[in-house]
Parts: sequence; C-alpha cells; structure tokens
Amino acid sequence: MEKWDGASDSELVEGLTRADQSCLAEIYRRHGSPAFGLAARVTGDRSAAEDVVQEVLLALWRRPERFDATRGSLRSLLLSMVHGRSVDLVRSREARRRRELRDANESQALSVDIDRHAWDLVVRDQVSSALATLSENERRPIELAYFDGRTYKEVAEMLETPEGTIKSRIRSGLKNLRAALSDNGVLELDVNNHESFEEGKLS
Amino acid sequence: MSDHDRVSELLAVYALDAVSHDESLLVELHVAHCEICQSELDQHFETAGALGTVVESPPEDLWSRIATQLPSSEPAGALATVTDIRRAPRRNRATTPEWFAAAAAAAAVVVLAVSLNSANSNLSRMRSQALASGFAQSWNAALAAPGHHSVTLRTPNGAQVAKVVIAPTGAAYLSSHAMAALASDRTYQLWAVSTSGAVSIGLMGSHPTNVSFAVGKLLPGETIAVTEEPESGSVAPSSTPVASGVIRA
Ligand SMILES: [Zn+2]
Repeated sequence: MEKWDGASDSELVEGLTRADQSCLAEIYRRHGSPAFGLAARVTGDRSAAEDVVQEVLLALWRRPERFDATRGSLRSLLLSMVHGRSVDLVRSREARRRRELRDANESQALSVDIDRHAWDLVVRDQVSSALATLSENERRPIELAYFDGRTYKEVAEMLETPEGTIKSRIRSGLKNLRAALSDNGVLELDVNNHESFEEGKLS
Repeated sequence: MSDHDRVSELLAVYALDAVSHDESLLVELHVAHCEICQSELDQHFETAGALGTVVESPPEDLWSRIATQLPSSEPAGALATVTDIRRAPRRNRATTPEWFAAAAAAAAVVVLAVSLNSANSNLSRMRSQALASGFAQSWNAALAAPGHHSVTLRTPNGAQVAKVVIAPTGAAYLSSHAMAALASDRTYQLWAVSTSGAVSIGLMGSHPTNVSFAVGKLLPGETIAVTEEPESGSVAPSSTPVASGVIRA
C-alpha cells in the first residue's frame, strides 16, 4: 500500500477505473475514519455507520467517474455521499428499529490514528471555532439539519421560524462558515473556481 | 419567481440533504444546466464536507469486509451509468450543442439525473412515498407543456409496458405498471438509440414503476429502449430490448 503514499486523490480514483483494489484501500486509509465518524455522528449507530461506509466505498468503486477534481475534493464527495446515505437511514423506520436493536457492548472505544488524522483533528477544531463565530440564528439550523438529519421544514417547525427564513439563514450561515474556514486556511476559497463561468456562454 | 431564483434559495439546504425529494429533483434538473447554481452548490458541498470532519476510527475489520465485496472482475468503472447529479462529470460547454451525438459516439454519460421510485429498497421507500403525489403533478405538467414528446414503450409483441413523457426542459418521466420485477441483482436500463448508437440514459432498478430523469436533449426519430442488465449496468445493451418506442414530435 505504501506505493500510493504520495499519490493524489485523482491518481487513486484513476486507479479505480483499472480495477486496482490497492487504490480503494488507500482511499479508505485516507478517508475511512472521517467517513465513519460522520456516519456514526448522524446515525447515532456504529453498526449502521459501518454499512454506510461500506456502501459508499463500493459505490465509488463501481462508478469512479463520479469524482470530478474540478468540482471539489474527493473527501467532500465521499462525505456528501456518506451524509446522504446516513440521512436516508435516519429518516427510515428501519433505522429506528436497528437503533433499538443495537447491541450495546458490540464495540470498544477505538483510538484514532493521530499521525494520519492530525490534519483532520485540526480541521475539526477549526470548524468548531468557525461555527462559534456564527450567530445562534445561523448555527442552530445548520446543526439541526446537518448533524440531526432534519429537513429545513422540520427545522423551521422546531425553531418556530418561517421556512423561508430558515432556508436563507442556512445559506448565509454556510457562506459565513466558508469565509471563516478560508480565513483560517481550512478551505481555499478558489478551490472550485478553476473554471470561472463565462456569462455569454450560459444557456 | 424564476426557476433560478427558487433553486438558488434551495442550494444550501440541498447540500445538507435537508430538502424533500421533489425539491432535490428540482435542484438537480436546474443545476444540470446552470453553471452559477452548480458552482455555488459545489462550494456548499465543500463547506459541508469540512463541517462533517468528525474523525472516529472504524472497527479494524471493516476494510477487510469491504474488500471481500469487490468483484475480481473489472469494475463497472467506465460504465455509462448514472445518478448522482451532484458529482456527475461536468459537461464540456464547448460541445454542448452537439453533446448528444458526441456522447453517443463516445458512449459517455448522457444522463444528468435519475431518481428511482422502485419498490425493492427500504432506503428509497420514504422517497417513493414523497414522490407519489409529486410525480403525478410533474407528469401532468410535462404533458401540458407545449413541445413535449411522449413515447409509448412496447414489447416486441406490441404490448404496452410503459409511457415516457419528455418535457421541453429535458425533464422526463417514465411510468410503468407492467414491467415484471427482476432478480435483485438485475436492473432495467434505459437507452437512447440513434444512428450513432445506444447511449445509456440510466438504471431503473429491478422493479421500476415511476421514474424521473433528465435527458438533456432527445430528438424526434430517436428510440428509447429498455434492456435487462446486471445490477451495475452495462456500457452497451447486452441483450435485445424488452421494450422500446420511437420519439415523435
Ligand atoms: Zn441557476
């Protein structure tokens, strides 16, 4: 697996199109823990989180062309797939049933590979402080939607706020979060702007 | 309110998976042809990804379990199949007017979005229900739109199995109550067939009833065909169509 140590995510995904399993293994090594962490956070269920990670990795294996480096990072693609599937689970009855059946002593606390994930731990801290810079009005709806898997309509109901207001607070909140994260170097503002759009060509 | 205005208000909540099924369909169909919205959406995904950086080590044996599921044969990596509009490869703007022919020649992905309404998945059950009323509405709206195309898909024996309505926007709707359920490791696959060959429109699952998808541009005279394929789809039809129909103006 060391042969992929210095490879870019794009090179690894390229390897998937040649059915190179060692590339998927390296992708798992790089992104498996965050993928699992997010799934476990959203589903509240480690065994469901395992299923989610498995599904997402296999989905990428089957359709590596989903990754488009001009559109964003592999990490964000994987996490958006993980999030979508986790939310599906949270919203299904099946998930509720599984959570009830969850075996309490199934898993031991596992340590995080600090070396490999040092940067992720930094990001996590930076995200917490960036979130803290948002107003309560923007932060709460984002957290309820993203981490609890609520729709914005449910969030509106929970916070007794009009749906349109929640929609626009989440939007401005994400933009502010992005600005804060680029200030502290977590996100590069121009990461998605390799190709700026040309007004004249828009259909 | 224009489509663009309505969708741009939904982009952030869409990136957080906090919208209804109908709303996600609306977003997916719009961003497929709006660079401004697509670009904002990409940014929201990147921000959400940072937000989602929750690191926790999975069980030690998770990778080995995943590895056992990898087929030893070639993966469907290069397949012209569909679905996740969020990350569907960016189309080359320069070739847009001829994209259909170009895509057909290269057997590339033409489909922008397919959302399945199949009865065989627990995960999609909720979405199916959410879609039930929305589908009928969208179907009727497409039928009422000037310039729509409608196609009846028939078996080689001439039996009607499905109807497809294609709105001028490229949004398309297939409804079938006569397609037999396949084994769970098989899928129906939808194709656009022209003189330059067959191009995958998308996978419909093993028991499709109502399916919404986006086709970009189809031309009268082209044929829509359905074949039965392995679960992960095929690059080219591997069998003769179980049903097909010609697009009329
Ligand atoms: Zn737009």
